[in-house]
Amino acid sequence: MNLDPFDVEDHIENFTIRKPRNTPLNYAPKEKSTRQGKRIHECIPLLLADLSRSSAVPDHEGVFSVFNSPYSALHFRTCIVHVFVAGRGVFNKSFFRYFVDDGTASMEISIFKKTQEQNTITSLYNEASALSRSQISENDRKVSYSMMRLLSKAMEYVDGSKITPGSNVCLYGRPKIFREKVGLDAFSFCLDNAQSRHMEIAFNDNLIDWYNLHKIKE
Amino acid sequence: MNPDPSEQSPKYCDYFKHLLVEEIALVPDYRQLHYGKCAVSGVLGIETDGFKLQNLRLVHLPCENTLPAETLSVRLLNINYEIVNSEKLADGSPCIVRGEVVLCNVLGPGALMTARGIHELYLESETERDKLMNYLEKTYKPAINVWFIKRINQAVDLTERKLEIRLLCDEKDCS
Repeated sequence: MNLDPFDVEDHIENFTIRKPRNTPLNYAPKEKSTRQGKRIHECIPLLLADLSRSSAVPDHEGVFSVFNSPYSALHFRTCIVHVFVAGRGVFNKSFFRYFVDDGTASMEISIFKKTQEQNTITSLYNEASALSRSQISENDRKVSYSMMRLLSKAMEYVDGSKITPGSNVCLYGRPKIFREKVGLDAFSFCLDNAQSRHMEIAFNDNLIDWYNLHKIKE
Repeated sequence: MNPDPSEQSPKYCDYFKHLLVEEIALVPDYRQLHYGKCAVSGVLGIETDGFKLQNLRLVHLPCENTLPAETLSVRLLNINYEIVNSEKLADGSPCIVRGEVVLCNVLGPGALMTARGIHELYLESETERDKLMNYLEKTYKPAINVWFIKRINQAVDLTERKLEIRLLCDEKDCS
């Protein structure tokens, strides 16, 4: 039998009643506050212990609430965490998975594989290295060398496979609930593997200040 | 009010909780020893009988609550010169160690115990508990089974932040 997609849709039509689309197709800006008038935060520093206790807010897609207690709750969409990578999870075609830990809880996270960006950077790198070997002036050669350095630096921020167990990494992402457990989908990451702990200390300072400001004491 | 440690058996800590060398080395009763994973920063000490993690001088705490640096130490297990060299560590370099808190037999061939094991032994022996605890305290010493070790700078500053974060967490859980 040779069916093109439209024929299949015709067949399905007989059995299913399509739901009308709730979301309008045109672009709508993200809501800054919930219908109850509470602010939805973005990019908040969080501890994994609090993140793993957060819960989805009904009726608002992608919005989670943290510090749940009878008195206070804080809504957010995205967060930043600074974690230690304790192990690898099962990788699949489009995600890297890691078990991470920040001293308050452990959690599984996924990092999206940016295959297209990686290919672009690799081909640009190859182009630059081919250029540096060709007959060009000394000045152009310097430019192509610095381009190669820049591109390999850029690759560190795109290639999720550079993250190995034992490294420290700063993640920016959104929480998700999978099999009743809270996880994190990271959009971007920044490795912090140097001996210096300035970045971790700065993150922790920011987190402590932010918690003292926003966490209502019970 | 602290519940009697004999009442509840310890629960495995499945994340790397930040502890101080002091908390492990100075535990008054082995049943209260941390059970599970830990992350400890300190100073690496290389001695003839093995590797040790020594305490830091925590400058931000009041004087009467701190010890001079390198007065206390905890044994490090599962570590060798290969690991130490690959991390560019030497005697006296500050580092952060992640692993499991265990009790190591210092007299015998290095048998291992955990706080949970001590707890179960204690519950089993109903008559000679004091004798048992005395024996265990002489034979076993706290140690860290190392999974990850890493040389770091600013170890004291980092420990200060981690203690503050523990305070933030404990306020809520009271655990």
